[in-house]
Amino acid sequence: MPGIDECLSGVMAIAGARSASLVDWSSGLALGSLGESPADEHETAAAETTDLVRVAVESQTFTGAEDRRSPLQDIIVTAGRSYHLICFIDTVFDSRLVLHLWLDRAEGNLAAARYRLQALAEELVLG
Amino acid sequence: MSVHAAPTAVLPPAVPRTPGEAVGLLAARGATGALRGPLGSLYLADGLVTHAESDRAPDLADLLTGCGRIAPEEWRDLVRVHGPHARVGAALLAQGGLSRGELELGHLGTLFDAAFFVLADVGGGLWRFETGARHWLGPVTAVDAERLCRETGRRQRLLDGIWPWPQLDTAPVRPSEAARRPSRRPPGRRRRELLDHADGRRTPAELARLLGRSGFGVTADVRRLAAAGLLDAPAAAAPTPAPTPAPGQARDPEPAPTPARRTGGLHRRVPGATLTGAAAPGPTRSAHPPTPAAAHPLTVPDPDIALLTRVRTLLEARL
Repeated sequence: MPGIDECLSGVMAIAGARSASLVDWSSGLALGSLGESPADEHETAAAETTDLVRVAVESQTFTGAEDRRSPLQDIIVTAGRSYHLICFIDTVFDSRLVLHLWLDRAEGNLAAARYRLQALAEELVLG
Repeated sequence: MSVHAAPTAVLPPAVPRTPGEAVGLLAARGATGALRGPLGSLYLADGLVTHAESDRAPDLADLLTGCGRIAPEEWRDLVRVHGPHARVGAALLAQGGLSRGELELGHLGTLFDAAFFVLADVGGGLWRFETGARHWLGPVTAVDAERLCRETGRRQRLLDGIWPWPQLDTAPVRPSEAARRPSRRPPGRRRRELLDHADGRRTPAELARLLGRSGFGVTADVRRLAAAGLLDAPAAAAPTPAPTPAPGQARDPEPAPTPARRTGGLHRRVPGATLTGAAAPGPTRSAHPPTPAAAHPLTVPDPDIALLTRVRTLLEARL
Protein backbone atom coordinates (compact mmCIF):
# COMPACT_ATOMS: atom_id res chain seq x y z
CA MET A 1 0.00 0.00 0.00
CA PRO A 2 1.38 3.40 -0.92
CA GLY A 3 2.18 5.90 1.79
CA ILE A 4 3.03 9.57 1.35
CA ASP A 5 6.60 8.86 0.22
CA GLU A 6 5.55 6.31 -2.40
CA CYS A 7 2.89 8.67 -3.65
CA LEU A 8 5.37 11.53 -4.08
CA SER A 9 7.84 9.21 -5.78
CA GLY A 10 5.06 8.20 -8.13
CA VAL A 11 4.36 11.83 -8.95
CA MET A 12 8.06 12.46 -9.63
CA ALA A 13 8.03 9.50 -12.03
CA ILE A 14 5.57 11.36 -14.28
CA ALA A 15 7.42 12.45 -17.44
CA GLY A 16 8.52 16.08 -17.11
CA ALA A 17 7.96 16.31 -13.34
CA ARG A 18 10.13 18.94 -11.70
CA SER A 19 8.70 18.77 -8.21
CA ALA A 20 5.99 17.06 -6.24
CA SER A 21 4.50 18.28 -3.02
CA LEU A 22 1.71 17.23 -0.70
CA VAL A 23 0.21 20.36 0.82
CA ASP A 24 -2.24 20.80 3.68
CA TRP A 25 -4.09 23.93 2.64
CA SER A 26 -5.80 24.42 5.99
CA SER A 27 -2.42 25.50 7.32
CA GLY A 28 -0.09 25.90 4.34
CA LEU A 29 2.11 23.05 5.51
CA ALA A 30 4.04 20.87 3.07
CA LEU A 31 3.55 17.37 4.46
CA GLY A 32 6.14 16.09 2.02
CA SER A 33 8.04 17.30 -1.04
CA LEU A 34 10.39 15.93 -3.67
CA GLY A 35 12.40 17.60 -6.43
CA GLU A 36 13.48 21.20 -6.87
CA SER A 37 11.14 23.77 -5.42
CA PRO A 38 9.44 26.23 -7.77
CA ALA A 39 9.92 28.88 -5.07
CA ASP A 40 13.07 29.35 -3.01
CA GLU A 41 12.03 26.44 -0.82
CA HIS A 42 9.21 23.93 -0.63
CA GLU A 43 7.69 25.58 2.43
CA THR A 44 7.29 28.87 0.58
CA ALA A 45 5.78 27.09 -2.39
CA ALA A 46 3.32 25.29 -0.10
CA ALA A 47 2.22 28.51 1.55
CA GLU A 48 1.68 30.21 -1.80
CA THR A 49 -0.11 27.19 -3.26
CA THR A 50 -2.40 27.39 -0.25
CA ASP A 51 -3.29 30.99 -1.04
CA LEU A 52 -4.30 30.05 -4.58
CA VAL A 53 -6.31 27.02 -3.45
CA ARG A 54 -8.14 28.98 -0.79
CA VAL A 55 -9.18 31.70 -3.21
CA ALA A 56 -10.58 29.10 -5.61
CA VAL A 57 -12.34 27.05 -2.94
CA GLU A 58 -13.96 30.04 -1.32
CA SER A 59 -15.14 31.65 -4.50
CA GLN A 60 -18.74 31.60 -5.56
CA THR A 61 -17.71 31.54 -9.20
CA PHE A 62 -15.73 28.30 -9.09
CA THR A 63 -17.66 26.36 -6.51
CA GLY A 64 -21.16 27.82 -6.30
CA ALA A 65 -22.75 25.46 -8.77
CA GLU A 66 -20.78 22.40 -7.69
CA ASP A 67 -21.15 19.52 -5.28
CA ARG A 68 -20.80 20.87 -1.77
CA ARG A 69 -18.47 18.26 -0.41
CA SER A 70 -15.77 18.20 -3.06
CA PRO A 71 -16.46 21.04 -5.45
CA LEU A 72 -13.05 21.14 -7.08
CA GLN A 73 -11.06 18.35 -8.67
CA ASP A 74 -7.94 20.20 -9.67
CA ILE A 75 -6.48 23.59 -10.52
CA ILE A 76 -4.16 23.96 -13.48
CA VAL A 77 -1.88 26.93 -13.95
CA THR A 78 -0.27 27.21 -17.34
CA ALA A 79 2.94 29.19 -17.23
CA GLY A 80 5.37 29.95 -20.03
CA ARG A 81 7.71 27.04 -19.42
CA SER A 82 5.74 24.85 -17.08
CA TYR A 83 2.40 23.70 -15.77
CA HIS A 84 1.28 23.52 -12.18
CA LEU A 85 -1.25 20.78 -11.51
CA ILE A 86 -2.90 21.03 -8.14
CA CYS A 87 -5.05 18.00 -7.47
CA PHE A 88 -7.45 17.82 -4.53
CA ILE A 89 -7.28 14.74 -2.34
CA ASP A 90 -10.54 13.44 -0.99
CA THR A 91 -10.25 11.71 2.38
CA VAL A 92 -13.13 10.28 4.34
CA PHE A 93 -12.15 12.29 7.40
CA ASP A 94 -11.94 16.05 7.19
CA SER A 95 -8.71 17.18 5.61
CA ARG A 96 -7.69 19.86 3.21
CA LEU A 97 -5.00 18.35 1.06
CA VAL A 98 -3.72 18.86 -2.44
CA LEU A 99 -1.05 17.17 -4.49
CA HIS A 100 1.00 19.75 -6.38
CA LEU A 101 2.92 18.72 -9.48
CA TRP A 102 5.25 21.18 -11.17
CA LEU A 103 5.56 19.95 -14.72
CA ASP A 104 7.94 20.98 -17.48
CA ARG A 105 5.98 22.01 -20.56
CA ALA A 106 8.55 20.79 -23.07
CA GLU A 107 9.02 17.38 -21.48
CA GLY A 108 5.61 16.67 -20.02
CA ASN A 109 2.20 15.88 -21.39
CA LEU A 110 -0.52 17.76 -19.58
CA ALA A 111 -3.36 15.32 -20.22
CA ALA A 112 -1.35 12.24 -19.30
CA ALA A 113 0.12 13.91 -16.23
CA ARG A 114 -3.26 15.08 -15.03
CA TYR A 115 -4.72 11.60 -15.42
CA ARG A 116 -1.81 10.00 -13.58
CA LEU A 117 -1.84 12.57 -10.79
CA GLN A 118 -5.51 11.93 -10.20
CA ALA A 119 -4.88 8.20 -9.99
CA LEU A 120 -2.03 8.68 -7.52
CA ALA A 121 -4.18 10.95 -5.34
CA GLU A 122 -6.86 8.27 -5.23
CA GLU A 123 -4.39 5.46 -4.55
CA LEU A 124 -2.91 7.36 -1.65
CA VAL A 125 -6.25 7.31 0.11
CA LEU A 126 -7.75 4.05 -1.10
CA GLY A 127 -4.55 2.02 -0.89
CA MET B 1 -1.31 9.48 40.52
CA SER B 2 1.75 8.07 39.00
CA VAL B 3 3.01 11.46 37.91
CA HIS B 4 5.98 11.40 40.15
CA ALA B 5 6.29 7.65 40.33
CA ALA B 6 6.99 7.49 36.63
CA PRO B 7 10.62 7.59 35.58
CA THR B 8 10.73 11.32 35.29
CA ALA B 9 13.87 13.03 34.21
CA VAL B 10 14.37 16.66 35.03
CA LEU B 11 14.77 18.68 31.87
CA PRO B 12 18.32 19.30 30.71
CA PRO B 13 20.52 21.46 32.91
CA ALA B 14 20.54 24.26 30.38
CA VAL B 15 17.01 25.15 31.34
CA PRO B 16 14.93 25.69 28.24
CA ARG B 17 12.76 28.80 28.31
CA THR B 18 10.19 27.74 25.75
CA PRO B 19 8.58 24.44 24.78
CA GLY B 20 10.40 24.75 21.46
CA GLU B 21 13.76 24.95 23.19
CA ALA B 22 12.85 21.98 25.36
CA VAL B 23 11.97 19.77 22.44
CA GLY B 24 15.05 21.01 20.60
CA LEU B 25 17.29 19.94 23.48
CA LEU B 26 15.61 16.57 23.73
CA ALA B 27 15.94 16.05 19.99
CA ALA B 28 19.62 16.94 20.10
CA ARG B 29 20.14 14.25 22.71
CA GLY B 30 18.27 11.68 20.67
CA ALA B 31 15.81 11.29 23.52
CA THR B 32 12.93 8.82 23.66
CA GLY B 33 9.90 9.57 25.81
CA ALA B 34 7.10 12.07 26.30
CA LEU B 35 7.42 15.80 26.94
CA ARG B 36 4.31 16.81 28.83
CA GLY B 37 3.08 20.35 29.29
CA PRO B 38 -0.16 21.99 30.40
CA LEU B 39 -1.78 21.77 26.97
CA GLY B 40 -0.59 18.36 25.84
CA SER B 41 2.31 16.05 25.09
CA LEU B 42 4.94 15.48 22.45
CA TYR B 43 6.37 11.99 22.06
CA LEU B 44 9.90 11.51 20.83
CA ALA B 45 11.68 8.40 19.61
CA ASP B 46 15.43 8.67 19.10
CA GLY B 47 15.15 12.45 18.92
CA LEU B 48 12.37 12.58 16.34
CA VAL B 49 8.83 13.66 17.22
CA THR B 50 6.55 10.72 16.53
CA HIS B 51 3.25 11.77 18.14
CA ALA B 52 1.59 14.80 19.64
CA GLU B 53 -1.62 15.18 21.53
CA SER B 54 -3.48 18.14 22.95
CA ASP B 55 -6.99 18.72 24.17
CA ARG B 56 -7.07 21.71 21.84
CA ALA B 57 -6.79 19.46 18.79
CA PRO B 58 -8.95 16.51 17.77
CA ASP B 59 -6.89 13.33 17.62
CA LEU B 60 -6.92 10.47 15.16
CA ALA B 61 -9.71 8.75 17.10
CA ASP B 62 -11.87 11.88 16.85
CA LEU B 63 -11.24 12.11 13.11
CA LEU B 64 -11.89 8.46 12.33
CA THR B 65 -14.88 7.90 14.57
CA GLY B 66 -16.30 11.37 13.91
CA CYS B 67 -16.67 10.73 10.19
CA GLY B 68 -17.93 7.19 10.72
CA ARG B 69 -14.86 5.53 9.24
CA ILE B 70 -14.51 3.44 12.39
CA ALA B 71 -17.16 2.78 15.01
CA PRO B 72 -16.28 4.09 18.47
CA GLU B 73 -16.62 0.66 20.07
CA GLU B 74 -14.41 -0.87 17.40
CA TRP B 75 -11.83 1.80 18.11
CA ARG B 76 -12.01 1.17 21.85
CA ASP B 77 -11.42 -2.55 21.30
CA LEU B 78 -8.45 -1.84 19.06
CA VAL B 79 -6.85 0.41 21.62
CA ARG B 80 -7.58 -1.97 24.47
CA VAL B 81 -6.00 -4.91 22.68
CA HIS B 82 -3.16 -3.25 20.77
CA GLY B 83 -2.57 -0.06 22.75
CA PRO B 84 -0.44 -1.66 25.45
CA HIS B 85 1.89 -2.97 22.74
CA ALA B 86 1.89 0.38 20.90
CA ARG B 87 0.57 -1.33 17.81
CA VAL B 88 -2.80 0.31 17.17
CA GLY B 89 -1.65 1.83 13.88
CA ALA B 90 -0.28 -1.48 12.63
CA ALA B 91 -3.47 -3.27 13.68
CA LEU B 92 -5.61 -0.74 11.82
CA LEU B 93 -3.65 -1.45 8.66
CA ALA B 94 -3.60 -5.19 9.19
CA GLN B 95 -7.35 -5.48 9.48
CA GLY B 96 -7.92 -3.20 6.52
CA GLY B 97 -9.71 -0.55 8.49
CA LEU B 98 -7.50 2.08 6.98
CA SER B 99 -5.07 2.42 4.11
CA ARG B 100 -1.42 3.24 4.72
CA GLY B 101 -1.92 6.65 3.07
CA GLU B 102 -4.96 7.49 5.17
CA LEU B 103 -3.15 6.54 8.36
CA GLU B 104 -0.14 8.68 7.46
CA LEU B 105 -2.26 11.65 6.39
CA GLY B 106 -4.42 11.50 9.49
CA HIS B 107 -1.46 10.96 11.76
CA LEU B 108 0.72 13.74 10.34
CA GLY B 109 -2.19 16.16 10.25
CA THR B 110 -3.11 15.55 13.88
CA LEU B 111 0.56 15.54 14.92
CA PHE B 112 1.26 19.00 13.52
CA ASP B 113 -2.10 20.22 14.80
CA ALA B 114 -1.59 19.11 18.40
CA ALA B 115 2.09 20.08 18.37
CA PHE B 116 1.14 23.62 17.46
CA PHE B 117 -0.91 24.04 20.62
CA VAL B 118 1.71 22.36 22.80
CA LEU B 119 4.64 24.33 21.38
CA ALA B 120 2.88 27.69 21.07
CA ASP B 121 1.99 27.59 24.76
CA VAL B 122 4.12 30.17 26.50
CA GLY B 123 2.02 30.19 29.63
CA GLY B 124 4.63 28.36 31.65
CA GLY B 125 3.23 25.80 34.03
CA LEU B 126 4.54 22.38 34.80
CA TRP B 127 6.57 20.67 32.12
CA ARG B 128 8.23 17.33 32.51
CA PHE B 129 9.85 14.66 30.44
CA GLU B 130 8.88 11.06 30.95
CA THR B 131 11.76 8.98 29.70
CA GLY B 132 10.89 5.96 27.64
CA ALA B 133 7.18 6.68 27.36
CA ARG B 134 5.64 5.29 24.18
CA HIS B 135 2.46 6.34 22.43
CA TRP B 136 -0.27 3.72 22.07
CA LEU B 137 -0.66 4.31 18.33
CA GLY B 138 2.83 3.01 17.57
CA PRO B 139 5.22 4.20 14.88
CA VAL B 140 3.66 5.77 11.79
CA THR B 141 5.75 8.73 10.68
CA ALA B 142 8.23 10.95 12.47
CA VAL B 143 8.95 14.66 12.20
CA ASP B 144 12.17 16.53 12.82
CA ALA B 145 11.81 18.71 15.94
CA GLU B 146 13.31 21.73 14.26
CA ARG B 147 10.81 21.48 11.41
CA LEU B 148 7.98 21.22 13.92
CA CYS B 149 9.13 24.36 15.74
CA ARG B 150 9.56 26.24 12.48
CA GLU B 151 6.04 25.25 11.46
CA THR B 152 4.66 26.33 14.82
CA GLY B 153 6.24 29.76 14.40
CA ARG B 154 4.88 30.03 10.88
CA ARG B 155 1.36 29.16 12.06
CA GLN B 156 1.54 31.73 14.83
CA ARG B 157 2.54 34.42 12.35
CA LEU B 158 -0.24 33.29 10.06
CA LEU B 159 -2.84 33.66 12.83
CA ASP B 160 -1.51 37.07 13.80
CA GLY B 161 -1.56 38.10 10.17
CA ILE B 162 -5.26 37.31 9.98
CA TRP B 163 -6.27 39.15 13.14
CA PRO B 164 -3.88 39.46 16.08
CA TRP B 165 -6.27 38.74 18.90
CA PRO B 166 -5.30 35.49 20.65
CA GLN B 167 -8.22 35.71 23.08
CA LEU B 168 -10.37 34.44 20.22
CA ASP B 169 -8.57 31.10 20.31
CA THR B 170 -9.86 30.00 23.69
CA ALA B 171 -13.02 31.99 24.37
CA PRO B 172 -16.51 30.79 23.43
CA VAL B 173 -17.24 31.74 19.84
CA ARG B 174 -20.05 34.29 19.69
CA PRO B 175 -21.54 35.45 16.39
CA SER B 176 -22.00 39.20 16.20
CA GLU B 177 -25.18 41.05 15.27
CA ALA B 178 -23.85 41.50 11.76
CA ALA B 179 -23.55 37.73 11.31
CA ARG B 180 -27.34 37.43 11.41
CA ARG B 181 -27.72 39.36 8.20
CA PRO B 182 -27.97 37.09 5.16
CA SER B 183 -25.98 39.60 3.17
CA ARG B 184 -23.04 39.03 5.47
CA ARG B 185 -22.61 35.28 4.95
CA PRO B 186 -18.88 34.52 4.94
CA PRO B 187 -17.23 32.99 1.88
CA GLY B 188 -16.61 29.26 1.90
CA ARG B 189 -18.75 26.38 3.08
CA ARG B 190 -16.48 25.66 6.03
CA ARG B 191 -16.65 29.10 7.50
CA ARG B 192 -20.42 29.21 7.10
CA GLU B 193 -20.74 25.86 8.88
CA LEU B 194 -18.46 27.05 11.61
CA LEU B 195 -20.52 30.19 12.10
CA ASP B 196 -23.72 28.15 12.16
CA HIS B 197 -22.34 25.98 14.97
CA ALA B 198 -21.05 28.87 17.03
CA ASP B 199 -23.61 29.14 19.80
CA GLY B 200 -21.81 31.49 22.15
CA ARG B 201 -20.78 28.64 24.43
CA ARG B 202 -18.50 26.41 22.40
CA THR B 203 -14.82 27.26 22.21
CA PRO B 204 -12.81 26.80 19.02
CA ALA B 205 -11.43 23.51 20.39
CA GLU B 206 -14.93 22.23 21.03
CA LEU B 207 -16.08 23.32 17.59
CA ALA B 208 -13.10 21.55 16.03
CA ARG B 209 -14.03 18.32 17.74
CA LEU B 210 -17.71 18.72 16.94
CA LEU B 211 -17.03 19.29 13.26
CA GLY B 212 -14.13 16.82 13.08
CA ARG B 213 -11.74 19.47 11.85
CA SER B 214 -8.23 20.42 12.81
CA GLY B 215 -7.87 22.68 15.81
CA PHE B 216 -5.62 25.03 13.91
CA GLY B 217 -7.97 25.19 10.93
CA VAL B 218 -10.86 26.19 13.16
CA THR B 219 -8.71 28.67 15.07
CA ALA B 220 -7.68 30.32 11.82
CA ASP B 221 -11.27 30.41 10.57
CA VAL B 222 -12.45 31.91 13.86
CA ARG B 223 -9.91 34.68 13.47
CA ARG B 224 -11.00 35.21 9.86
CA LEU B 225 -14.64 35.45 10.92
CA ALA B 226 -13.70 37.91 13.65
CA ALA B 227 -11.65 39.94 11.19
CA ALA B 228 -14.72 40.18 8.98
CA GLY B 229 -16.73 41.47 11.94
CA LEU B 230 -18.89 38.37 12.17
CA LEU B 231 -17.83 37.41 15.69
CA ASP B 232 -17.85 39.35 18.92
CA ALA B 233 -14.26 39.63 20.00
CA PRO B 234 -13.68 38.71 23.62
CA ALA B 235 -12.50 41.67 25.61
CA ALA B 236 -10.35 40.05 28.25
CA ALA B 237 -6.62 40.10 28.37
CA ALA B 238 -4.40 38.02 26.18
CA PRO B 239 -2.76 34.98 27.72
CA THR B 240 -0.56 36.05 30.55
CA PRO B 241 2.01 33.88 32.29
CA ALA B 242 -0.06 31.23 33.94
CA PRO B 243 0.43 30.16 37.50
CA THR B 244 2.04 26.77 37.82
CA PRO B 245 -0.69 24.20 38.25
CA ALA B 246 -0.52 22.00 41.28
CA PRO B 247 1.55 18.92 40.49
CA GLY B 248 -1.45 16.69 40.95
CA GLN B 249 -3.22 18.51 38.17
CA ALA B 250 -0.79 17.47 35.51
CA ARG B 251 -2.55 15.76 32.70
CA ASP B 252 -1.96 12.33 31.28
CA PRO B 253 0.12 10.83 34.00
CA GLU B 254 0.88 7.80 31.89
CA PRO B 255 0.70 6.96 28.20
CA ALA B 256 -2.51 5.11 28.87
CA PRO B 257 -4.65 4.51 25.83
CA THR B 258 -7.61 6.73 26.46
CA PRO B 259 -8.64 7.86 23.02
CA ALA B 260 -12.32 7.50 23.76
CA ARG B 261 -12.08 10.31 26.21
CA ARG B 262 -14.60 13.05 26.80
CA THR B 263 -17.32 13.79 24.37
CA GLY B 264 -17.83 17.48 24.16
CA GLY B 265 -16.02 17.95 27.43
CA LEU B 266 -14.05 21.06 27.97
CA HIS B 267 -10.34 20.83 27.58
CA ARG B 268 -8.54 21.65 30.76
CA ARG B 269 -7.40 25.18 30.56
CA VAL B 270 -4.36 26.81 31.92
CA PRO B 271 -5.59 29.16 34.59
CA GLY B 272 -5.32 32.70 33.39
CA ALA B 273 -4.56 31.68 29.84
CA THR B 274 -8.08 32.00 28.68
CA LEU B 275 -11.04 34.19 28.91
CA THR B 276 -12.79 32.82 31.95
CA GLY B 277 -16.24 33.78 30.89
CA ALA B 278 -17.22 37.38 30.79
CA ALA B 279 -17.40 37.26 34.55
CA ALA B 280 -14.08 38.73 35.41
CA PRO B 281 -12.60 40.57 32.50
CA GLY B 282 -9.26 41.55 33.86
CA PRO B 283 -8.34 45.01 32.72
CA THR B 284 -4.88 43.87 31.78
CA ARG B 285 -3.64 45.06 28.44
CA SER B 286 -6.39 46.51 26.31
CA ALA B 287 -9.81 46.06 27.81
CA HIS B 288 -11.49 47.10 24.59
CA PRO B 289 -12.71 44.45 22.25
CA PRO B 290 -11.37 45.22 18.84
CA THR B 291 -14.33 46.52 16.97
CA PRO B 292 -13.78 45.81 13.32
CA ALA B 293 -11.86 48.54 11.58
CA ALA B 294 -11.17 50.25 14.85
CA ALA B 295 -9.01 49.44 17.81
CA HIS B 296 -5.87 47.58 17.06
CA PRO B 297 -3.74 45.79 19.60
CA LEU B 298 -0.49 47.59 20.15
CA THR B 299 1.59 44.46 20.09
CA VAL B 300 1.46 44.08 16.35
CA PRO B 301 4.99 44.07 14.99
CA ASP B 302 4.07 46.26 12.09
CA PRO B 303 0.85 48.08 12.84
CA ASP B 304 0.60 49.77 9.46
CA ILE B 305 0.61 46.59 7.44
CA ALA B 306 -1.68 44.83 9.87
CA LEU B 307 -4.11 47.72 9.81
CA LEU B 308 -4.11 47.82 6.05
CA THR B 309 -4.78 44.10 5.97
CA ARG B 310 -7.69 44.61 8.30
CA VAL B 311 -9.14 47.40 6.23
CA ARG B 312 -8.81 45.33 3.10
CA THR B 313 -10.49 42.35 4.75
CA LEU B 314 -13.33 44.54 5.89
CA LEU B 315 -13.82 46.03 2.48
CA GLU B 316 -13.83 42.60 0.92
CA ALA B 317 -16.31 41.36 3.46
CA ARG B 318 -18.69 44.18 2.72
CA LEU B 319 -18.45 44.30 -1.02
